Amino acid sequence: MEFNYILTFSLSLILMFFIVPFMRQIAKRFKLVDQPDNIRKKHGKAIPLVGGISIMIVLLLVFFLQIFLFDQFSKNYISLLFGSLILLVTGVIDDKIEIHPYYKLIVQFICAYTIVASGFIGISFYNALGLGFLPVSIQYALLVLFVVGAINAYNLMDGIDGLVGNLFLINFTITAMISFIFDINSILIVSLGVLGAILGFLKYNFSKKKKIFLGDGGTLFLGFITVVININLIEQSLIANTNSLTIFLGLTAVMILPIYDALRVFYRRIRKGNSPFFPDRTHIHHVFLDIVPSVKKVNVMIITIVLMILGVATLCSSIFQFVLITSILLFLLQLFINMNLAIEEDKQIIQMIEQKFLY
Amino acid sequence: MKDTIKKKLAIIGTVGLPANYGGFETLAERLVENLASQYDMTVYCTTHNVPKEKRIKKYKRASLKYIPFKANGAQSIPYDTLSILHALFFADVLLILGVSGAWILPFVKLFTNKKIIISIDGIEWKRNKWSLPAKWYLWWAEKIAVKYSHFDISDNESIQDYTAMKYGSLSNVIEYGADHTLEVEPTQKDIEKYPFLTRPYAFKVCRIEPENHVHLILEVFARYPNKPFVMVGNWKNSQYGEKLKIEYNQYEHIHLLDPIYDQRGLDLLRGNASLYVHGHSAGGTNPSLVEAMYLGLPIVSYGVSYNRTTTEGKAKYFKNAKELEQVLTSTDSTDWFEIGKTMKNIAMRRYIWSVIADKYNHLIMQTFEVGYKSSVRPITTYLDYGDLKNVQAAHLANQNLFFEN
Repeated sequence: MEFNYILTFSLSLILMFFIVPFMRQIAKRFKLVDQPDNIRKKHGKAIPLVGGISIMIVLLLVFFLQIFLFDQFSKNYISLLFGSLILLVTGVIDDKIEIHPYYKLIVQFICAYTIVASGFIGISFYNALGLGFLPVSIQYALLVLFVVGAINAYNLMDGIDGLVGNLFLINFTITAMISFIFDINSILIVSLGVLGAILGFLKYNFSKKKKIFLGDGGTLFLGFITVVININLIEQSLIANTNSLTIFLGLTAVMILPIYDALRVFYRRIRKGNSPFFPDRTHIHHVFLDIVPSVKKVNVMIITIVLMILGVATLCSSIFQFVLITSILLFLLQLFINMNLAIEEDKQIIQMIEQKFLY
Repeated sequence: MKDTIKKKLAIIGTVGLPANYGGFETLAERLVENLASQYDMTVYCTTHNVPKEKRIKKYKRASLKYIPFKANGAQSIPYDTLSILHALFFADVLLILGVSGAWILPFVKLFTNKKIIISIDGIEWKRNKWSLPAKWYLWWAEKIAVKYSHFDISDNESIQDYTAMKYGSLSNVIEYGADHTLEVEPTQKDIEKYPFLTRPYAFKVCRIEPENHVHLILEVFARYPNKPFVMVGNWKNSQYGEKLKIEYNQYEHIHLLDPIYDQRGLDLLRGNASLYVHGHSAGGTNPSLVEAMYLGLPIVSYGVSYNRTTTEGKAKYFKNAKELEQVLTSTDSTDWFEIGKTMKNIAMRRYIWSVIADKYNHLIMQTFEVGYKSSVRPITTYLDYGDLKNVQAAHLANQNLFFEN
């Protein structure tokens, strides 16, 4: 078994070094690239948007090999596979020809509904949250809503090199550890496969000459796998009733920051009378980049916050404690972000005033 | 008849008196000279670099109180805070120069009936000389200062626009005086020390920082050996300064001098220049600019709004090296002469300490009469539109505010 795990991880990683260069050439031919066509984009040249496609190809190869050699994965992984493929394709089309956000949302709802309907994720954790009293249909509706929300949250975090890749890396390291300890083989295989592929992707994402981006397709499908695997693992730990609280809090903790950032940004945009998808520079990575103009340092800062919340999760002995401490942390973070956003707005006022001549 | 009891005024936030250097110190000294007959004045001073035996208790009819912290840098927070707390015990009005101690003002306003006038200086939080945490603190402190003071003072109309846009309140514009400067005739000894005094030369005095465009100005003057240039500044305080001094000291017509702290020494070089070059790009009204104007010097200034406001748009301006070069080569001596005269006239009207002190006096008197800070929006804009329409005054709901022009 251990050989299988090593094989999965290594194969994923190594295959990326073959697939990515090939996909870079394809991307250039089909112009599946991200052009630096507005002031919000900081990269100076066209970057191939093939991270997601490359990871998907590698995962498909590795997982088909698993099925062929070891007969891994039960039938309900089919809905995970199809959901991922549909989201990848939607995202790739969006990268090429820009689909209206509402069409993307519809596709996300369909994928979320399908994975819930397949039984891959369910509502058993609602009782742990004290929400078991809600009607079952409402619980399912909220679950679908949560999956869609989380997918978008990860999609929105893809604003600087390496950030969302690092978030997935942390998440799947945690899921790999948990599934290893509890001998949940299929999830461990998925986690190791994704980990290897993400590491391979990050090498190119941080490269100066051979850079690639995940693309919308990549963040959508990886966000989907992340949230679905996390919920599945939470449910399995609740069934096993071993360390279920720590696992629940830990897997919630790794997802909190993208969801918090998305909600925060939507709220701010709506308050200003704009669409929640209005393109501005108010995400957490934008704010940090304005303070410290180094992508690597901003990655470190954000990952540190995620690890802090994860640390709080491992130390808490109740959901209430976790909610209280995390709320305080996020409140302080909110104050800090709001202050810096206000400072950026003031800088623009000052710039305007300095150019305005009263005489 | 018994004399009216004088109101007690505390001046907080300066290094102290006697003034050695610095805009706020000179301001404090001039206020003491002009207002000590009307107010019972106390000025807070730092003990830093002032040995015990030199700590005088009174200076020009003002009492001096000493606080054991530095007045600048991070220590300015406890310095200003302790000064404010101490002044609460006796002063009627606290005139606070700078926002370091602003954090305590909400408590002062809540628990006391003391009047607070605060000078927010020139958008300090944006200055590159501060570290990031310092900038964050100053940004927040400025907000608190404007919100919890009875009156706030900006030193420039452009900054008044900024506070109006940002806070919706009306700041009071009070600049600086310049008539403390001296007209100095060079002596033989002066000429021996500074031989360039015998010929026309351009002059600049400032902190050696990139935001003062020191490198740009030197780069342009280096190309014109027939235009001597003298610059006074703290070259040794930074790598930026040291690098520039090494690079430009080799030019015979460029004279880079270390800081001169005595008024006569500085005005000897400044007052006898034929052109003043002002490169500041931040910070509102700059004391060195108004001083140069008072000395009747022709001015070429960096074209940011603050400097244009200070000079009423009647100096020459530049935005880059090319424009500076153009001004220097295309302006003839007659134009420069006229500009110098105009600058002097403006300074005589606006930048005299008696005028400045008078403005402060009016503001202090107003604090006892007015209970709240004026909003920039006229009161009619708060009224219900329907009601205004009924009395055929709907046009009053939409008014172009002064900073929107």
